[in-house]
Amino acid sequence: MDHSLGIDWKALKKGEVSMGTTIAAVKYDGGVLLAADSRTTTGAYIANRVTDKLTQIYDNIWCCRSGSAADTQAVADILHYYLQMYEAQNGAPPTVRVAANLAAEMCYSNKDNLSAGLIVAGWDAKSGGEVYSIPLGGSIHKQDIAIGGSGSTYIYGYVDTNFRKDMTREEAIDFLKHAIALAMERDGSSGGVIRMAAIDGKSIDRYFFADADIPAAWNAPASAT
Amino acid sequence: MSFRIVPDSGFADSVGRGTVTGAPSAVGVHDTLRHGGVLSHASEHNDRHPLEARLAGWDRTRDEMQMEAMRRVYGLGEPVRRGMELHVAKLGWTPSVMGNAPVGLEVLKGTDTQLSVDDVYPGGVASMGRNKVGGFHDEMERGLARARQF
Repeated sequence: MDHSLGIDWKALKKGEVSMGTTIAAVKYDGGVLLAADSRTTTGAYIANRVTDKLTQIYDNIWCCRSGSAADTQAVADILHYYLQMYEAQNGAPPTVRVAANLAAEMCYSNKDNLSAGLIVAGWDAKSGGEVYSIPLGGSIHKQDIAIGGSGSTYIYGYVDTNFRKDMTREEAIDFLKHAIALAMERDGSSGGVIRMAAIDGKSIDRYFFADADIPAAWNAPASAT
Repeated sequence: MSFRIVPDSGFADSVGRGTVTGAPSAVGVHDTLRHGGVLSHASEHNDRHPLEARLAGWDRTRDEMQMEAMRRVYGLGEPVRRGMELHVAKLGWTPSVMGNAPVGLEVLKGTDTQLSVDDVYPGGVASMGRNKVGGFHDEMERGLARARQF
C-alpha cells in the first residue's frame, strides 16, 4: 500500500471477493430509485453473475454495496442490528439520515480494515426520498444522484448530461437503465443483469432487466424491416 | 468512542525495557527461566501472521462494539449496568469439577453451550497437562475455611 494521501482503490485483501461494480441511486419525484449491475468477481473469475447488490437495511432504507463483498455485508448487518434497537428505543423508524451517518461513521472508524463504498437511499416521512453517497474513506455526501463503483467512472459524462431533477419514476428507471448499461459495456468488473429497487413510502418495487431488455448503445441489432 | 468493528492489527507503538519482564539482575532482557515465553523482542513482534491479532482481539472488539451501540441508543446506563453484572459474575463460584470455569459468567455471556480449546486447556495448548485442578475435597475445605472465619 503506497503512503501517499490518495485512496488505494485496489485495496482488497488477498483472496477476497470483490464487487468492482456499478451502482447508482437517484431521487425522483416521490421517492428514490436504486440500481446496480450483478457481477461479483474473485480476480478474473466471476463468482456470481446474478448478485443482488441492493440490500435492505431497514423497512424503507436500502443501500447499494460496492467494494469487498464481505466488508459491505458486515457493515449492512451491523447497521440493521443497530437500527432495530433505535426503533425499539425511539418508537419511530430511523430516518435515512440517521442510517447514512451511522454507516459513514462505521466506514471512517474502520477505514484501515474496510474496503466498502456504499450508497444509502430511502424514504422517510420527515424528508421524503433522500440519497447519500459514502465513498471509500467514510465521508458522507447528500446528493440528488449518486453513482459509485469501478464502472461509475465511465458514465459521469452521461449522468451529468442527462440527469434532471424531479423525474417521474418511469423516466428515472429509463435513465438509470441506460447509465448502468453503458458502464457494463466498458467496465470489466461490471456486467450481468440490471437490478433496481424503487422506494416511495407506499411500496417497494423491484425491477430486473436482462438480455434484450438491457439497452445496447453501439452494437444494437439491426432492426427488422 | 469510535465504532471499531474489526480488531486492530496489534502492532506495538514502541518496544523497550518497560515492556519486558526481566530478572532483577538483567532488567532489559526477557527472562525465560522465570517467566517462560518468547526469547526476544524480534520474535515477539516480527513475522507474526496478520490473522493472529485479529483472532485474539475478535470477541473483545465485538463486545465493545455492542456496548458502544447500546450506549448510543439507550444511554450510558446500559453498558455500565452490563459491565457491573459481568464483574459481579466474574467473582462467582468456579467449580473445580468444571475445570475452574466461571459458570455464572458464561451463562450471562451466553457462551455456556460453547466448547473451545480454551475450555479444555485453560492456559493455552502450551500448558497441556500442567493445569492442576484441585479435587472436590480441597474445594470443600476451602469453602468451610471461609465459612469458619468470623
